[in-house]
Amino acid sequence: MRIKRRTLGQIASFTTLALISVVFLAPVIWIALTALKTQREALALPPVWSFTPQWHNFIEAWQSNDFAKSFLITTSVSVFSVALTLALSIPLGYVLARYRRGWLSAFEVAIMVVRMLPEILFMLPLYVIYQKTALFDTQIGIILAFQIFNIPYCAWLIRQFISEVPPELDEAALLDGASLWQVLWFVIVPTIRPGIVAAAVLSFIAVWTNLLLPLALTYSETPMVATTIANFKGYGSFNWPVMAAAAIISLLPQFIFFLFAQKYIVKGLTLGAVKG
Amino acid sequence: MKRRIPILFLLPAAAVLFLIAAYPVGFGLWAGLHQWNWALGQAESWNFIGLDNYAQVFANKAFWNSIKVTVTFTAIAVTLQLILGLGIAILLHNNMRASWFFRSAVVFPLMVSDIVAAVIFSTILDPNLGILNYALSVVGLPGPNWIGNPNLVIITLSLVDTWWQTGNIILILLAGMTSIPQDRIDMASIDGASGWRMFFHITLPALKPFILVALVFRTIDALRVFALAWAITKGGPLRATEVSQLYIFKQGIGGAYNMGYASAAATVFAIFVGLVAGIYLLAMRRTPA
Repeated sequence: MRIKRRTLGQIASFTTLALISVVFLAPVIWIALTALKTQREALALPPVWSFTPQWHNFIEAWQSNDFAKSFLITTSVSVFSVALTLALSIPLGYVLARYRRGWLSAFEVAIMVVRMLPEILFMLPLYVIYQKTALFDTQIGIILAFQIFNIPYCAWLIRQFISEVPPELDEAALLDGASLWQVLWFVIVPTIRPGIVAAAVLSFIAVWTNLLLPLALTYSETPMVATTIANFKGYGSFNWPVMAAAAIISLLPQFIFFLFAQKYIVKGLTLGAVKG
Repeated sequence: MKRRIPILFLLPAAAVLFLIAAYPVGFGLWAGLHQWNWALGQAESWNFIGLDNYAQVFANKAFWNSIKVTVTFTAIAVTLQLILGLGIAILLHNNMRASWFFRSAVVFPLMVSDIVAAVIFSTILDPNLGILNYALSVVGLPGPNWIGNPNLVIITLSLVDTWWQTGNIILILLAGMTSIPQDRIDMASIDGASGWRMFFHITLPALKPFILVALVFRTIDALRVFALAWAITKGGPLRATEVSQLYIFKQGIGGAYNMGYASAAATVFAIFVGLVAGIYLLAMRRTPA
């Protein structure tokens, strides 16, 4: 009897989980189906379930509204932005993990506060400054702007990982005559590789998905995926399937990371909770 | 041991953050003290007016409306996410064998950007052509006007945010649950605790610090909502979804170009977010982890 109740409970919670999963996945599946329909089929109610997949919607999406250009530019901006973030925040994270000074803790708190502040606080003045310095609507400008939020996040993440590496490892290498740069590059970086991957993947996704920064600081020369997706919606009688196809293409990087780096993503997202 | 700090490790990041974050914020604070409305042809000249912009911000109904809308959105969204997240995390934790697939499914929306979430739900929630209201009509329920009804629309956005971000809370709580020592659970079950009693006396107290962290992260994030409102509703109807970041964006570079006023409003809103964060952080210090 006891065992029976237990199995019933398990079936119930299993079913609940299955239903919840369907609810969470359905919107994305629905938009993926929409991307394969004709406009008429996409608007049809009751919905059409059997249709000839219109793969050319993806080509049309790729070719319209600067989407291809924005995809390539966003890729380039993401890659260089992440490289810069890592180059700056790995050494910073090392100092935060290994040294104790009053002003250093104050600095650490300050950059954590920066991460919590609303983007618009930075975007209003940066818009003006960028207009005056010709950084507006350039890749360098937007790459720099993303550092505001990504350096604090990555430095903090990397600091947590370095804190778990025993300092004796550094000491031993230093005694062997290594410079501090060599310690960082040959001892620390290989040891905390999972942390670096997590930081890289999460800041890549942050650059890829953010809307407000490109909306404020870029225009037609440096279109970003987030803003071009919005443009698909902006036109009067917009084409649902093509817009859906663009949305699906824009999810590709996240999808790839989710398949191959989920472990690191989860680690990066939960570290804050575990470390406090 | 007190060693010399390798200043070259610190300096590049600090310099970039100074140029790109600290200096602009300082410039914004200074701009907030000026009458500087580009729409009135003042792009090249500004007048110092002290705290007048701040007085205008505090006297402005639209600004307070934006705070109200933002707080309402945050309260509904975070509450829903916390309850749902806790429930789902417990289910996942108790069904370890199947949980890889289910966890992936509920976490997947985190990978979707807010602008794509907005695109997806604009089509699904469309009152005439959307699949959701059609599905409701099939089971005989009236489909509300999710986006057009000013009394409902903020709940709609909170629901979209719940779909998008509940995974975040689930991940944090799952991490918390695996940290509950198994012997405590065993002890309690030997004492005959099960089901709800186990939940209220063992699981929930042990999870408290994790719930608090999830609450802080999600609240700060939700207060800064922008893309969902900008892309699904443009702040409408009747300012019903004009959240603070959107309001300030519109007052500044998003159309009105009243830069002095927008800068002051941004400062006030940033202080508000900072205060909320500070209160939470104090509460966290008080809770022994």
